[in-house]
Amino acid sequence: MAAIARGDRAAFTRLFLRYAPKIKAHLEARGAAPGASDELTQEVMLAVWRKAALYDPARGSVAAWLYTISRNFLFSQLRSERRRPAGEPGDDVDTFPEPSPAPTSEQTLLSAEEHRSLAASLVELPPEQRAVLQGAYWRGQSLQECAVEQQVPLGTVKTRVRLALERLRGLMAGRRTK
Amino acid sequence: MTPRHHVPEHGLVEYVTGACTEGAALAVACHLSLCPTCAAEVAALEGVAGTLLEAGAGLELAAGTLESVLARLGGTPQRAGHEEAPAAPEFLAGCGLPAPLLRVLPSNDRWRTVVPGMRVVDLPFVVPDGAIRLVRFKGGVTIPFHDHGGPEYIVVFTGALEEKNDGRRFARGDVSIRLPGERHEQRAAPGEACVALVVNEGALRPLTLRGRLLLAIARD
Repeated sequence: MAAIARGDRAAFTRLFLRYAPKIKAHLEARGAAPGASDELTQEVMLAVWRKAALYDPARGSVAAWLYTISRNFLFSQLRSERRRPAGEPGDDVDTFPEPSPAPTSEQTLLSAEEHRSLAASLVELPPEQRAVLQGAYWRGQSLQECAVEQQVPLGTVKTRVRLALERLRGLMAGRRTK
Repeated sequence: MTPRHHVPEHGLVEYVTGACTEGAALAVACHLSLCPTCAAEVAALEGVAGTLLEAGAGLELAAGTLESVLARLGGTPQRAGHEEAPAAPEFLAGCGLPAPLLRVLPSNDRWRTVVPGMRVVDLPFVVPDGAIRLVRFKGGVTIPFHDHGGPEYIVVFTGALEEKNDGRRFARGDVSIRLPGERHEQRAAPGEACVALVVNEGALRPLTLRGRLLLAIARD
């Protein structure tokens, strides 16, 4: 990311080849029409280029940051669709309110190693817990929408999210001490 | 002092995934700026998001997409290490407003009185039947018993709000979330004025005569 912030196009190309297809899949999972998802992915990757200098490795992984850029982009799309007649250009990608940087503690730092262990932990989750995380994170559903889709009460979804996150933490902590 | 009243975990999840409303996102962002505990939690939740993105199967892009992006890149990306928030206007100096709020302030130069003891700055959001405002309650004023037509999110910046029912006190950085059907009466703690972000996603429904009168004379 530091190279991209300096304007290194080769580094940007590597990032693009690795992540742009995943971002496209994510945008489609969140409701982007297949015909529009290439264009939207382009917009997200352009935002990544413009904002590369804002990426702070102390605050999380590159993938986590890319996720937030895609989310902010979708959020601003929705906002401008609600506001203005169709066909007019949208705002810039900055309408999602980001907190000012709070002091980061050691525990927020997710190393590449922890990333792999988190990925492995996801696979070990019970299917119903994995389903709510997939619904919420990958497809951008609200917990109410997850509840409707999975035909369980909202409280159950909240519990599953809590259990899933607790379990992920537990599994990760277990790996770290091994 | 770190906040004592936080955003529940499911609220943080919906913030991270972008599934919440604009008003809720603004309230959560303001809280996160003042609450290291929830900020660390959000960083962890974003880590989960990143892992899911990393683990997702990709979809092949149309031929030429990379070339077309490269052609649109322009020069060097912006340089700033952080996006600077604008400075607070003079009449809001000393309110300790966090960056997410400063970024959405309109160019007003004063408070607008709505009812005696309560002044506001309207924030530029469109909420049917509701409002998103920065509110200044004079110390000691009460907000008569009321219900909510939609969710309510309050984040306190100065002074404190107290719940009449259970005595809970909300001070700097604290979040109060109320849903329709949750009725309450609040009071700004005596002394220092209470400045807070108040997000109402539905109309307030006063349940007392005094409340109805105040609503009737309130200037929108």
